[in-house]
Amino acid sequence: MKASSPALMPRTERPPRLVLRFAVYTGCVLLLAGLAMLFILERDITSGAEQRVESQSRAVAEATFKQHLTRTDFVRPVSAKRRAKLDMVFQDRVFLAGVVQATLYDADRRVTYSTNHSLIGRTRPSDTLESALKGRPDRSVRVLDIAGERTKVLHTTVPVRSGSATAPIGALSLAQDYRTIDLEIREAFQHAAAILGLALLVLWISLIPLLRRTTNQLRARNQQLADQSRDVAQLAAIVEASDDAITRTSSDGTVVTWNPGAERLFGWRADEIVGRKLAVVVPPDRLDELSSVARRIEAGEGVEDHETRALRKDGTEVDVSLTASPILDDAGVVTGAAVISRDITHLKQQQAQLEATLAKERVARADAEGAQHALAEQNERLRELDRLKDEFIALVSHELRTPLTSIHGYLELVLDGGAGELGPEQQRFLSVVERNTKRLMQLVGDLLFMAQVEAGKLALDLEEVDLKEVLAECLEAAKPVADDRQVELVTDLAETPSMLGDRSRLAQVLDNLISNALKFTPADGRVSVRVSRTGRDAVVQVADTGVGIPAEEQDRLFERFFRSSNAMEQAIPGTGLGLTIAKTIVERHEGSIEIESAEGKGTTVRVRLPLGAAVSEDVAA
Amino acid sequence: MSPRPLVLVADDDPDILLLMTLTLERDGYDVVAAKDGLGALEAAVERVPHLVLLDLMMPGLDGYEVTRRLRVEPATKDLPIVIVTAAAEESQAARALDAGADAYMKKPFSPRELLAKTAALILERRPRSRLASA
Repeated sequence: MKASSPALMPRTERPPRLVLRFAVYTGCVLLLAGLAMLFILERDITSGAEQRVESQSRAVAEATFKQHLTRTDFVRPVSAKRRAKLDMVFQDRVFLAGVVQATLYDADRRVTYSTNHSLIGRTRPSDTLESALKGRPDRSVRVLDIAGERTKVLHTTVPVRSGSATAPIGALSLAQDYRTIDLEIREAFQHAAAILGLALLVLWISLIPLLRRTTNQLRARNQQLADQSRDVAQLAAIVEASDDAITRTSSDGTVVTWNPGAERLFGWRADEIVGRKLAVVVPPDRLDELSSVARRIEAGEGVEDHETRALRKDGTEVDVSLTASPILDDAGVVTGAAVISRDITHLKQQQAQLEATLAKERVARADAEGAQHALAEQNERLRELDRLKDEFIALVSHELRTPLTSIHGYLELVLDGGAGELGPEQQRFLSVVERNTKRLMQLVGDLLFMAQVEAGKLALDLEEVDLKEVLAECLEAAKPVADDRQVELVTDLAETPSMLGDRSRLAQVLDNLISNALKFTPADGRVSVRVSRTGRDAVVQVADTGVGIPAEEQDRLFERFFRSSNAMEQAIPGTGLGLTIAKTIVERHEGSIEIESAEGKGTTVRVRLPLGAAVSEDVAA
Repeated sequence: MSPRPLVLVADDDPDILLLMTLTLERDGYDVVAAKDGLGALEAAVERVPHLVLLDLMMPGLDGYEVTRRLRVEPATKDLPIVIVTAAAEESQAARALDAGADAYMKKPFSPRELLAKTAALILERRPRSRLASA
């Protein structure tokens, strides 16, 4: 048993950490972006504030200049008187706006006036001054020494023109305490930072579901990859464990993989054969088979369960079943083949055995079929004979009826005195004729009944029948015969509910049974007839003390035309149809008939007839 | 009206025709005999009997057809009709009743059976005809 590879182990899930990591990453990125934006914003805000201050200065300068400064203020350093005046002007008007120092320059970069009196008369060139003297206001941030205090100021220098002259006659410079600007900047910056921070926070929060979704997708993809690699590992394990030889070749027939099954089947170890041609395991006389398989593979088709022989390393051959399928790359180009070979030596042997058995069986079956055919033919002939017989019986019966009607009718007419009084002799002889006519009529009737049954044309004329009443009539008719034969006729007729049946057919059954009993009972014997009710059935029992039926014949009693040996020996007349007819009629009434007999002791016939619907009616009444 | 009831008998077998005639006449009936179906129809229309006994299998018009036609005629539509048959199949008897016969009698029959059936059917109709004439 090999240890399962790590790929088969269940992976531990770490989704929260993944989300957290993403959150931190995006948070950092957003933070950096925010900082960068703040940096840019800060510069914007600063320059915006400075610009505002600058334009403020310019407005002040212009206003001050128009109202209080004169052209001469920019020509040479002002007199002490003028200086005092200007001091007042600047104190009053300009310093209110946070200006800490105001300076006037002439065109030669010399200070003509400054609120810092020590500067007056000095030359203080600077970039902003150069720019202002060229007509462009400019500003810079400087640190000035104001009243002994180093102060950060925004130094704005604006050109001063006289009338419509284009060249400036000098410049006015205002130093504004930077702290007021700083305050403004800080305020603006704080606002901006708060808004930006809030916006980024909202953005970051709104990013979280997105992150979650992305990580979920990532996780699903990871799982899929894990499953795939597990599948691959399992497949590899299956290939490894398979008894079949599973091999892969490149498109030129070189062996690429070779599983243990292949090692067992072909006798070549994987390290011996990988890199060699698969043709090594093909017997020389089957190389063309290999090339035809190779052609099919090239065409992108496979070979399935191809039975052939393979050459083992030891030179012996083995029966194999070969299945080869092309391996395609993503572009659908055949890059090789998967070849599965199975040892079918055992199968071949079994097949050979099976074929031998089958061949034997075929011969046997052919014999049996011949016999069966002969039998079927014989059967067919028998059926045909049977049919002819049935037709014959029907025809004969029908043709016999008409003359019998005349014979019997005229005979009765004569016996009734229709042709004058008969002498005793005549009466006796004609009675014999009548008795035999009746036998003949009975025979014809029985034959006709059987013919109808055979033809499937026996129909019952159903009505409510009182079994006891029918039986009483039959007994009435049998009484003279019983007396004649000196047989005691005992009856025990219980009341039974009426049943649904064919009255005349049921009478026929009872007549048959009673006349049979009388026929086979010698003088001084007894025939007893009972009707009783057992559950849902009416049971008619006719028992005699007659000759009985040999045990070995009892099974055949209901066969058509069968007559017991006793009947034959004692020349008791009959057609051998009585019981057949009785059974047929009883069964058509869904009843049953059975016979018990002991030779020399007597016979009991029991007929069971279901009372059926009549029972429920009886119960209801 | 004749005191003796009139019975019309039709059968293509002369022996049986005679047997039925003799039997009925001995028992006090007037009998008209016809040897085929057409004869039976003509006789029945000419003089309406109290009962008709018809053999089923007769050349020309058979018992069914005669029954059907008698049932169409107003004068004979209520006549009691008995079909006499030697046919093997029970179904033929059923067909006879379907065609409009009142009863059927199978061959071979005994003269006593014939008389019993005849008397029963005529007796059954008599009171009705009396009612009708009243």
